[in-house]
Amino acid sequence: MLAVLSTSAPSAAQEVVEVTPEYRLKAEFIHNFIKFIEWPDGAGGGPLTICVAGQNPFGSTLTTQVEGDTVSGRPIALRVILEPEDGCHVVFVPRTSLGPQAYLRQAQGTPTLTVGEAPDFVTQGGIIGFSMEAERVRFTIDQAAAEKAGLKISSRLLTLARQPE
Amino acid sequence: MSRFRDLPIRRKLLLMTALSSVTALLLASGGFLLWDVERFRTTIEEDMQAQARLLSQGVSSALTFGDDRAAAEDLAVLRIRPRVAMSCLYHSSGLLFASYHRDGDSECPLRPPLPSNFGWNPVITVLEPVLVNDQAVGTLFIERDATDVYDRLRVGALTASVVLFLAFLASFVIAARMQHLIASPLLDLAGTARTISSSQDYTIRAAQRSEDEVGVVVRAFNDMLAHIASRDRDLSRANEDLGREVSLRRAVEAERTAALARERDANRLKDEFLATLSHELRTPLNAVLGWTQVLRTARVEPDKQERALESIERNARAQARLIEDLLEVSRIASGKLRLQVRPIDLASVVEAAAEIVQPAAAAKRIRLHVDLGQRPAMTSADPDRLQQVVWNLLSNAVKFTPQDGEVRVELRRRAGYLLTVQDSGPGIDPRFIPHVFEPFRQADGTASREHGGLGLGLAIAKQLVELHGGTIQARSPGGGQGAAFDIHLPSVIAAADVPAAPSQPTVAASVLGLDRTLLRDVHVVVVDDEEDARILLETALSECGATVTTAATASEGLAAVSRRPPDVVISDIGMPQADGFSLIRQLRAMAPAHGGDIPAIALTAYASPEDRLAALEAGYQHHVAKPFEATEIVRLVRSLASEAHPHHA
Repeated sequence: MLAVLSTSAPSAAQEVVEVTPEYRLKAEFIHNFIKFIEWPDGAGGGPLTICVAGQNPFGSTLTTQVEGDTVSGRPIALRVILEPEDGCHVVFVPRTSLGPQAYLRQAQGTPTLTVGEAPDFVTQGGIIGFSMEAERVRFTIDQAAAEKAGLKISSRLLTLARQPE
Repeated sequence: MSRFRDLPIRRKLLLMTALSSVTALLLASGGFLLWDVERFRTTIEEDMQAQARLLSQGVSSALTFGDDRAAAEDLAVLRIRPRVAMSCLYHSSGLLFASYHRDGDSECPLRPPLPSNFGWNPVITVLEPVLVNDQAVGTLFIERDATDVYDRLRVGALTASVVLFLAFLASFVIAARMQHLIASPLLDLAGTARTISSSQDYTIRAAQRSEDEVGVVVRAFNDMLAHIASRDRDLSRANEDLGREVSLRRAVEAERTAALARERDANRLKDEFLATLSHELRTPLNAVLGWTQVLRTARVEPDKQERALESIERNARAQARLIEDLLEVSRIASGKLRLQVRPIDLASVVEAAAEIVQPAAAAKRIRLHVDLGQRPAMTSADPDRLQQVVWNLLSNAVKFTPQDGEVRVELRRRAGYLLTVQDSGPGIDPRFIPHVFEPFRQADGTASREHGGLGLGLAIAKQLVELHGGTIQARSPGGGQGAAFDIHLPSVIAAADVPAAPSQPTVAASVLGLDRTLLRDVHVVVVDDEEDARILLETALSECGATVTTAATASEGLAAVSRRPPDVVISDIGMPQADGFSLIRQLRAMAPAHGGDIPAIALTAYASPEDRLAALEAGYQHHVAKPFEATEIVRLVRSLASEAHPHHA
């Protein structure tokens, strides 16, 4: 227990250390996306929930970022999910996740912003897909998918996005 | 400022108009220009603000997502705005995130600058926060150069200057055209004032053309002129009065001075005259008294006695003549002289006078030429008086002509008669000629004078000639070339109309040369306290055939009249006890039957005109001055007796 405790403590510290600049940026991006996207009114009350599927690559950075922040008067909550769940407004599917399709299916027909890292994430039905371009984080937005999900994406965000092929 | 004050009104008005219009235009155009430029700048600033706001929204996502390239692209849209020099996007942390530069030479500040759009910056800057969901994520800074603002200001100022210049010209021209509205009445007024002051003509008036202040001034000016003119008139009237008074006083003063001079002159003349008179009266007295003494004291041979008596008589006569002259002057002066005018032959009168002076002329071997022209030379005159005049002139001529000289008498008809008496004596000083006929005047007024006489002869002659309606003039070239006297007498009666003088019956003449029967049957009472006078009168009257009763006093005379009323009474005036006035009053108080209206003659030494008048008023018919000519008395008695008793004539 002491060991666990002793290991957990350094491991937590290691986790923090292990968070790469890439994910630090991506956490920021995800946080910023929320600011440029409008959810339909029927998207439920309560906090705006960001769900991280499978393994959390952000460490505590994302938590730190969204803690105390509000979007349109709604607090932001962060949750790590191991399988598709209801109640997520944003679902991030990291590269490490083996089955992003399940999460996409789950999100299908609901106002859920799906963000993924896989190169074919957008083609598979995801709304926003991250990519790396010479150390810079880029993203692709499938506007059609967003409209299908009932999300309104700010044009300003769209100008920054790469167009899907 | 004082130089401005001395400028002509024309120029002042021009300057004032031009200056005020330029000032107004300057203020207006300057204000407008400032306002316009400020508005222009504000517009630019607002425009940039809007631009910055748009741009900040555009770049907000890029800034949020750290997409500096996208941000730079966004900022680069400012390229369409060439005046924007640069645009800088700062992260909320203050770090420069993206930038845009128009030219390469400008650099964004490392930190967002503070807003600094105050005053006249050559650049206009805008700071705009970049907001995402109302949260500031950064700051956008835009800098724009403001040269266009200054260009606009320059162009505006240039335009305003041109407009100003044109407006100044226009206002100058308008003012030049309109200034005469104000200036010309004033200039007229000034001109009028100048004319009046130079010509001193206060009748000129300034023309009033308006009812404004200038009109009021013109009216006041004219009123003032009227006042001045009226005062001038008053003054000149007062001056005239004063001048008149002064000249009057001067005239009075001159008159008084002249009167004083005349009086002095007259006094001097009188003094001279009295000295002369005294001398002239004494001279014959000397002879009379001298010879009388000789006759009384010495045994005188008969021929010497005769000479003595003759000398006494001559001198007595000369003295009587002098006194007669004096009385004559007095008579003439008092207007009492009466001319016995009758038709006469002037030639006979002149001849008679010449005969009288002939002996005196002969004594000095003076040739006496008498040229009487055509005879008879009839006129109406008093022959005795005329003869007196001619005799006077002739005796003067003889008196002043030296031995072997010449005296000429000419009678000519020339608008009447012209009688000229000319001598070859020393002549008359031309300066004395104007005074020759003045009484008591003699060219030689000194006591040692050569010629005797009282200086009355010519004065009497002049008066007598003038009484006859004639004139007498003296002329002399002076300096020993003789003198001439011209008498001009009117011819009153034509020669043909005059009857020949009745020839007097020649009878035996008395010692007096009178008719011994002249006073026959005439009884005369003579009253005189002086025995000499009584005897003389008695002798003379008796010689002519009269019966004479003498009385020494008035009462004796009256008694004689009462005893036997005479034909004529002759009485002295100045007598002891009752005088001649008392006698005549008592005589006239008597009844005519007792002799109350017997004609009476006053015979007196009181010879003045007043005495004569007093005698006539007292009741005498005639007044005869002593010494008298016996012949005159005889004639008078005869005429009075024949009037009283015509049968005697």
